[in-house]
Amino acid sequence: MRPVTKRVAVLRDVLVVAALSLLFLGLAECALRAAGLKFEGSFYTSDPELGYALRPNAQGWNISENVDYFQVNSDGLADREHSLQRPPGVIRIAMVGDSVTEAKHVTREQAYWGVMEQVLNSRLAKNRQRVEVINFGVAGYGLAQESIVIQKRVWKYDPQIIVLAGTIESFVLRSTRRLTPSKACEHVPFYVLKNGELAPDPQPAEQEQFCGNEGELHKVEGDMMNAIRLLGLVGEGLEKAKEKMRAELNNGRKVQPVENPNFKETDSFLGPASPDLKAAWDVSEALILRSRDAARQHHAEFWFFTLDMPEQVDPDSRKRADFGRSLGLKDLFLTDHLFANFAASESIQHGTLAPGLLAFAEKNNAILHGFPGLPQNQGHWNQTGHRVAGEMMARQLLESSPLLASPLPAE
Amino acid sequence: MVFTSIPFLAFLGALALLYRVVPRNWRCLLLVAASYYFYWLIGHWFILLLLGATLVTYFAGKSKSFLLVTVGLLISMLVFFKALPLFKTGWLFPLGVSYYSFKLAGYLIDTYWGEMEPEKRLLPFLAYSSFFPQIVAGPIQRPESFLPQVERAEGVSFYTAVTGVIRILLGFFKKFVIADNLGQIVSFVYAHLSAHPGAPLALAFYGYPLQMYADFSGLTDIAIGAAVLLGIESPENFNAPFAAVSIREYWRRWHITLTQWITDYVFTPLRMSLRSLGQPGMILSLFVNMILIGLWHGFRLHFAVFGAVHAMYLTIEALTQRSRNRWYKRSPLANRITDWMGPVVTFHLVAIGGVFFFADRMATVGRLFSHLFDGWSALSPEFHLIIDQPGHSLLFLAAAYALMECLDFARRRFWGKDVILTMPRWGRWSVYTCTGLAFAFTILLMLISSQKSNPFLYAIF
Amino acid sequence: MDRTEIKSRLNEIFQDIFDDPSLRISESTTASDIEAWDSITHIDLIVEIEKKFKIKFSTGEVRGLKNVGDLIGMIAQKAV
Repeated sequence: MRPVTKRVAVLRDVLVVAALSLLFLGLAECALRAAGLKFEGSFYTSDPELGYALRPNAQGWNISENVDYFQVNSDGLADREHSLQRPPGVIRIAMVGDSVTEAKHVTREQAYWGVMEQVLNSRLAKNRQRVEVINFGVAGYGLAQESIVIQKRVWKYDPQIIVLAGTIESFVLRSTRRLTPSKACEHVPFYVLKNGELAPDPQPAEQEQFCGNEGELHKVEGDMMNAIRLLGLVGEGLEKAKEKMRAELNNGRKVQPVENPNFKETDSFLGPASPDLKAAWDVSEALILRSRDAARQHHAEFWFFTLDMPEQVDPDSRKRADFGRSLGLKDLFLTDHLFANFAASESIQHGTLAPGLLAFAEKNNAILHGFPGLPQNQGHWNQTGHRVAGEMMARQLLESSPLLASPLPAE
Repeated sequence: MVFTSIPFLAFLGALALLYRVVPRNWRCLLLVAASYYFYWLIGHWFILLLLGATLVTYFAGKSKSFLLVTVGLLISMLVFFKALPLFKTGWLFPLGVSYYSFKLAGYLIDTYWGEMEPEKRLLPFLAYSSFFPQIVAGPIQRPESFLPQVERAEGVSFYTAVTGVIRILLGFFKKFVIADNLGQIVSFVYAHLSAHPGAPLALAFYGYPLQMYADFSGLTDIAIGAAVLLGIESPENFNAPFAAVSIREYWRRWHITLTQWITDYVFTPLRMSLRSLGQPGMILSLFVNMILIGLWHGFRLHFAVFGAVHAMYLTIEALTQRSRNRWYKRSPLANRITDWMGPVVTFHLVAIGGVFFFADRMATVGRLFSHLFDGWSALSPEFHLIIDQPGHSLLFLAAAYALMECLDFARRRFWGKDVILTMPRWGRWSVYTCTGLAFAFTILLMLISSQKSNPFLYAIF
Repeated sequence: MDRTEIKSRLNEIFQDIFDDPSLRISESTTASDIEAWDSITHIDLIVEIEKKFKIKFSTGEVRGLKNVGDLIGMIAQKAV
């Protein structure tokens, strides 16, 4: 009799201890939530063609620059759900771009393409036309990935207009492996020009950066980390610990293994000023043409927009002048104009938003980038920046888009 | 090495393990070595000052002829360093000198009065003045209670160690969750005093004493818990100060060891020598006493005024004691009401004193009080920015504060050195696992709060 | 003067200083037993004792007192 009850007693004690420990963890979770502590959610996963992409159905908090809840739809888009089948009488616009277009920092209605959609729909209502915008933007994408998206990923939604939008930094510096902001991981595609033809960049992969893991386990892990604050705490805590240990091992020097020493954000203002930049420009142009051709093949309208950089739209003219002087540039829109000329010469419908945004910023003394509590006019567009840009883009489309200027026959 | 840091925890953990492993006769040496190492990290060459003062005191204690001279030397040294900032020389301040000079001076005075025999061995004495858990923020332990313990060098059992860890974690909770967050709000209000209407000012007014309690008692918890891990039991420094019904009682519950030191070595002797002067003598002693307590924190005018304000409170309390007693006897209802009102009134008096303590210019004090009732409506967007940050919501802080008071109460009432022993096995193991989880939780929170990362660049991930 | 007489006279002094006619002290009474007995009133007590018993205390003696028993002992030593 005695050994049995002893074992039972041990089991009972183990269960009680486990239950109390779980209770304690539950209280800790509640405390984290009550304190309002949030952790950056896990939203990305690896993709064989694109290197990485948004993870379908991922949802969590975005806490960089602005705190808001971000949700990825079931098809891996930073957007609400869209049916594959295009509804009759609806004109679909596919937005392709990077983090500005992904617009994780603001709501869908506040994003520039959401504003554009609203403006277009209110103007087109009288023609009984309707526009539906589908967002394919993913943070960090360069022209290589964007062109692949245009070639392969958008057509199942049957869009009639393709809009490729990005900043001059993303269009110039992220086209080649050499100049891209961070040491990209193995699968992120890059191109080089061989005898005037685009070919995949044969350079060896560098495994420095986190590429996103594949498979169910990562998906479950990601979802759990987004949902349970304690796990978010553990994740971020371990990250910080690793950083600190790395810093200690490197004798306290600030080592950023993910930064590319060749990357300099301001180089994008200079045009094809160096051999590296010229090579990047050539690749960029080729990729833009490839995107245009892909749209043509599917009989879709193709638009190319350059957005703005914070330094271009600072309402303080002295700051702009100082910035220009530091680069040796008189015209901060040099690159924008070069792209516009290129687009015009290739008969690509295009828009250059930066000068117009500057005009708005100066006239209203408005700051278009950055959020409260952070340094002024840095980082992504705030809600004002998005709104003004969306309205400008809508106006351009209404003026010049053949599809939108004329009423469609009923389908 | 700050108390609330991971390196300190690592240092303490390693030391506690060594303490367990090392033979008994070596433990005192271990404590001295660790304390001097710690002091080297925080005080650098001032370590010589600590060592010198300790050695001089040790030998003076044995000789019996230079006792009072040495006390004078110690106090002069303290006054010298406290007065130095007034001359703006930019010289550094030796950390902990307020605490160890009081410990050494107290030892000499006790020896002089025959209260204790001078310490015969140098090593325990070195440990006394340099004991690192107590050197940064007290408690100011008396030699009669410290020296025997460090000589015995008792081992620390596992469950006692767990008690110490729990105390340390409690201190971390108070410091990180309540004191630091509340402190940011209070500092913010004081930094932009003219910009705020009445509501934030009231918030700072009430928040500051609460923040101070969380901060100071939290540091004390860490100090006491750390000492437990090293086989030393320290005196308590706080005993529900906001439950005090009078300012007199408040000072018996707040920074207890400092009050006791000043009472025993300044107030009582002074009062005794002035006792022929009757009430004016008492009032003078009170003012000297409290102003010295104020100046102990720093030789600034606002600290002295803080002391004078409290002296005034105590004087009024003492002078009206008899008439108040008579009134209570006549009206039991009044007596009951004052039981409830006492802590409320006392808290307000403390908060008023707190304004003088925090504000380093008298103009700031004036501005706060003149605008306190200015209007409780509009709060500036910057204020909202502060409140909206994680951990700064007023509701959250109020709940955390209430939790802290409950934990302190539970500790005073139900906790003891051996309470874990009396628990059933599932109780003990639950305590162990939850303590371990709480420890991991604390480490993670410390890791992430070192910098709130906010990438400005076009972030990829 | 013997201890009982000292104790009864001391009791009167205690009742007067602490304004409580119902107060009864014993040899083991300490400051923690009487709420009003703190460092401030302690000296009031000493002053009154010095006056009534016509003796003088030194600061060191005052500090060394732990309970009423000690006090009685010290008074017995000093009073003749």
